[in-house]
Amino acid sequence: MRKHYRIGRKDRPSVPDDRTVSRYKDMGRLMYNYQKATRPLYERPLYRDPRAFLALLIIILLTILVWEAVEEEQRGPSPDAPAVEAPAS
Amino acid sequence: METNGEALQIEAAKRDPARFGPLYERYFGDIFRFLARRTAREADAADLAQQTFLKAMLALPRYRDQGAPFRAWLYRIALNEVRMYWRSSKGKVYMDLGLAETLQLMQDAELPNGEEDLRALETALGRLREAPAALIEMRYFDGMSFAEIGQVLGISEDAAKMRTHRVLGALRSSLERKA
Repeated sequence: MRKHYRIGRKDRPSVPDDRTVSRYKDMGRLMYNYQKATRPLYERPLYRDPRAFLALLIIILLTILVWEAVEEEQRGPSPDAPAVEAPAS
Repeated sequence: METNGEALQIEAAKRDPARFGPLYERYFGDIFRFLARRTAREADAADLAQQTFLKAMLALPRYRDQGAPFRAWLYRIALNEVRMYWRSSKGKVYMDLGLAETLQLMQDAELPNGEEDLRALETALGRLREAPAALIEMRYFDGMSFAEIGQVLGISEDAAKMRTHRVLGALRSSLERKA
């Protein structure tokens, strides 16, 4: 970030007047944002929050993959696998 | 240090955030103008002002009167907000200065004030680091007293005065070297 100063040739730079200030003054919006910021997490369903939803989805997928891998290991070798023949004596 | 009425308003807002309204009404204009001088668009200044007041509301339960006025506390939050805004701005940051304030600065720094000198000053100001630049901006472009600057930056009035004079001295030497 580089800051540049511009010295105007007018006496004063244009500072917002009272009318502009009133246009942007919005206590209702401030209260809304305050309530949004202080609302407990549980009041908002997880699926409504994209980031929480994605995290939840990843956790579920990982659980399924790990479960599948463990199941596979417990089942032992697949019956389709070629049987190992004993060497002829 | 707050006036009695303001201290009561702060206490009321601590108990019930819906009563933050009078404080918002009183200081919104000052904070908005402070931010508007430092942002390219009014809409950005308005967003930063809303963010400043939201942070103030959220931090209000922890606010303690430590001798500095409530206004200075708000300016400190606004200054942090605008610094984050500058850092997140991908392009250049512009700050428009008035001629009258700039001439006052040049007079205090004992600098000549020709057209060339104004251009050189613009460049020299742009080279200042964040903290010295903040001192010059608050003193000359926001028109704050040294006591107010000290309250915003959390330093004494004398320290604010001494540091500002040091920055003016550094600006003078930098411009004299260029000449």
